[in-house]
Amino acid sequence: MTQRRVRVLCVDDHAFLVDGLRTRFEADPGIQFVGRLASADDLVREVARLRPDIVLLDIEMPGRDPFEAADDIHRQYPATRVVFLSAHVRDHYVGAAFKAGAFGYFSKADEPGALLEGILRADRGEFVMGPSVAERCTSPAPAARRPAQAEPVARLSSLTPREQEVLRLFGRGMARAEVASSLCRSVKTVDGHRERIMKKLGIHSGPELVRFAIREGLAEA
Amino acid sequence: MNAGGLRGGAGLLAHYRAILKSTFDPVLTIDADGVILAASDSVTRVFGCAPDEIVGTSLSTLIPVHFRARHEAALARHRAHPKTPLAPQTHQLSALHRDGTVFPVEVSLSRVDVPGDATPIFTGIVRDVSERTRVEEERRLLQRITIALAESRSLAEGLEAALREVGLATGWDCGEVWRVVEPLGQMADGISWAREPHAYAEFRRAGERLRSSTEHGLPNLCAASQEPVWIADLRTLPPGDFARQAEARAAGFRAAAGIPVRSDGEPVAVLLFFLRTPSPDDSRRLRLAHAAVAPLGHLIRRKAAEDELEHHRADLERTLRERAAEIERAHEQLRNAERLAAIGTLAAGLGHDVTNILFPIRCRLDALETQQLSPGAREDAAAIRRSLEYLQQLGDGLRTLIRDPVAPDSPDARTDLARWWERVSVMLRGALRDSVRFEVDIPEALPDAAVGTLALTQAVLNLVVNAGEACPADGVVRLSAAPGPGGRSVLVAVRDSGRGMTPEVLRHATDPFFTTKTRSLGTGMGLALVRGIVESCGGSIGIESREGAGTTVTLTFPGAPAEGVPSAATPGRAIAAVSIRDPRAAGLVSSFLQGAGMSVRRTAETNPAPGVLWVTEPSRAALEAAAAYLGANPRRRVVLFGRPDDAWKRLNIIVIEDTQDFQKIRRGIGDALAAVAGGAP
Repeated sequence: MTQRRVRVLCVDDHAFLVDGLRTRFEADPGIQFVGRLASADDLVREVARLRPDIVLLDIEMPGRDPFEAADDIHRQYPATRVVFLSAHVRDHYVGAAFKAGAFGYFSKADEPGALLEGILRADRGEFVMGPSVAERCTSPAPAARRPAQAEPVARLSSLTPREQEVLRLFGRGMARAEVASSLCRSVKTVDGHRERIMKKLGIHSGPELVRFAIREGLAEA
Repeated sequence: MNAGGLRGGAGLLAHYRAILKSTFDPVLTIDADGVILAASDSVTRVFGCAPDEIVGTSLSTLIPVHFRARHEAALARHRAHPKTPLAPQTHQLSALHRDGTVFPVEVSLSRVDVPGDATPIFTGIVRDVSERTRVEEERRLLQRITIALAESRSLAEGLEAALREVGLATGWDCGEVWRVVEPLGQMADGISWAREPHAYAEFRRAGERLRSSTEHGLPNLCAASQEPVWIADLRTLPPGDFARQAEARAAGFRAAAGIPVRSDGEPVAVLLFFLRTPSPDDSRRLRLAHAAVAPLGHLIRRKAAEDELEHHRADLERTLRERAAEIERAHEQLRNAERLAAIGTLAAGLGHDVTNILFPIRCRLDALETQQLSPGAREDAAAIRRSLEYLQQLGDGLRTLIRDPVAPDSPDARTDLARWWERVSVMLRGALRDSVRFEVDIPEALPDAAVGTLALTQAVLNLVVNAGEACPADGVVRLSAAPGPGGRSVLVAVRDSGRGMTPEVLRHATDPFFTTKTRSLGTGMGLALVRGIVESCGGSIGIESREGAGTTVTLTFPGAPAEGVPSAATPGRAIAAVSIRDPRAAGLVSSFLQGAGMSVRRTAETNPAPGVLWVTEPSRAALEAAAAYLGANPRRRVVLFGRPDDAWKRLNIIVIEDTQDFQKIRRGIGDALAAVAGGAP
């Protein structure tokens, strides 16, 4: 009897990274590399076509918001499970991934072996975190001891993935037009996002918004 | 009256005698040889001698010695040229009083040609102008002093000029100015003058050091009486009345005078003058000096006010200059901070890229190692892996540089120092020069510190960089960690073998923007930042340093709250049961529990299994099982994963209603773990 191989679709704009993953997957009898994409723009269509078991999804790519894409896949193709693989490890990203119906979150600093094992577990339907993600995000302290500063982080999770993306781009010092161009959206749409973000976070000025994004680590690279 | 020498008719003579008797100013008539022929009665008032005493004598007796030759020469000219007309004018001359004093006079001369006589006689009306001259002299002196004061740049300079003008104009040998100073009623001497520039140096120096109370002393006597005081003979003064009596006598002075200067009735200063050789003219000196000095009070006051104003202006200018320099410094620091922020962003970006690049390399290496490799190739692969790990640690370290360390990166910040060290060791070692030895002592079994990993890295990185820079080329930097008293805190210390700090530097070491570094990257924010980090998580910073003996900075972090179940109470790992049908949610909940050190069993909802914590979804079967589970052991806790109905609310449980929210699930599990650890219902 042939062992079932978990079929993986890789979505990352760094071709060399996907090449590396492919090489690793091909060396593993349990995993099959079925395709690659450089953005989430055509992801849902490719999932429809390829029906992969796992989509390995980066969070920072040009084009469509990966969290939105993950949400769509979760709803439309529940047999396909999204696992995020990112260089950014932040509580709110992991939270957003869970909310979008993802089955895992791995850091690119994790060992590839841990990722492979995680892919297999996600395939079984578990939510898995890479070792460095777990180390950061699984220290559950009681609410009573949590300081007041926790509030903005909690509020951050109220942002939609697209809003998080907009906030991240503002945090990197981009102007409205640049943010709009980067997301292939109109300036008016970006303004709408910005207004909603500020309302949700209780922030009243642009500079304050940028500072918040930087402090929460949204502005990184 | 005596007009015995006059010739002429009896009527005329009587008339003339009457004039001589009644005239206010002395009238003197002399012949061409200068012999006094007639004198009015008023000579007694002005010259101190009766007309009878001088008629028949030479006019020279009324003329100061040094003017007599001129007088004789003029008479000789008239004798030689008797027809020479005498200009009708008033002559400003000096006269000699019987007591020897010389005084200024104004003389109106007329020539009388007596018919039949070859030589004329002369009549002169003599007016004593001493008073007028004195007033003019006073006015001129006052004018000079006023100008000197007005032109002086400070009160001290003005008073010195006034002292000099009065001293020179009235013929004193030495003088000094005493001013009323704080505390009220005290006077101090600070300014002195001597006719000979370097004379009485010792006496003057002694005076400049003195302060005098209002109780005694010549300055205070003058200030109190507000009248000039004249001491004609310093020997006759009883000792003690004048503190400097002995010194003045030793300096050779015989007489002294004090002249008060007032303004609005208040004494503001006293001028003292000293004289070696008293003379009959001394009272005139005193009068003149007093008359010149007395009106200066308001000028001195004004000058003092100007002085104060100037002082304030200078103060203001200095303050402005300092403020400008401060602003410039702040701008410089801002520029540095911006540069550092840019470097931080760059570093973090680099760290991110390093991670992105290393991941596929590790993937390929993994793939390579799954193949049959020769022993040499396997060794190469292992070496490559070690290098990759090194680079990954470096990349992780770089990424910690961007975030604001004072804002906690996680509300439940905690750091296991031994694990932390594994990650940051490469970067921290890299922060030191190669020649500096880096010793590290971080034991495995330390309580977790309640500080975020990133914040801890930034704090320690700052300390290590500082320590390295303070060290000589072959210095030692030692990083150590130890549990605090009772294990309730964690101490992290960085010690260097450097030059140490002066007490002054130590005092300001944690002030923002305080730096002793001359390099452009010394922002002065290092230790301030460290303090901010430590204090923001409830810790403290201590610095021990002595010049030449190195510096030790100790950070005390509170211990992080206990995680999960105390292992002492339950040998081995405590067990938690998870009965959630959705494997995705079950996986997340299990991750949280495992993260807290618990052993997780997936169980059916009716069978929680032995353990201290059960996470289950709501159902009737689960409700019954939960009641039994809790009833069997009061230390047990149940977490309901979903919305409870009223029946569930009767049980003492922890509820996670929103099962799609990562943070709420995390918080609910955290509360449950704390309840299990605390044992409280």
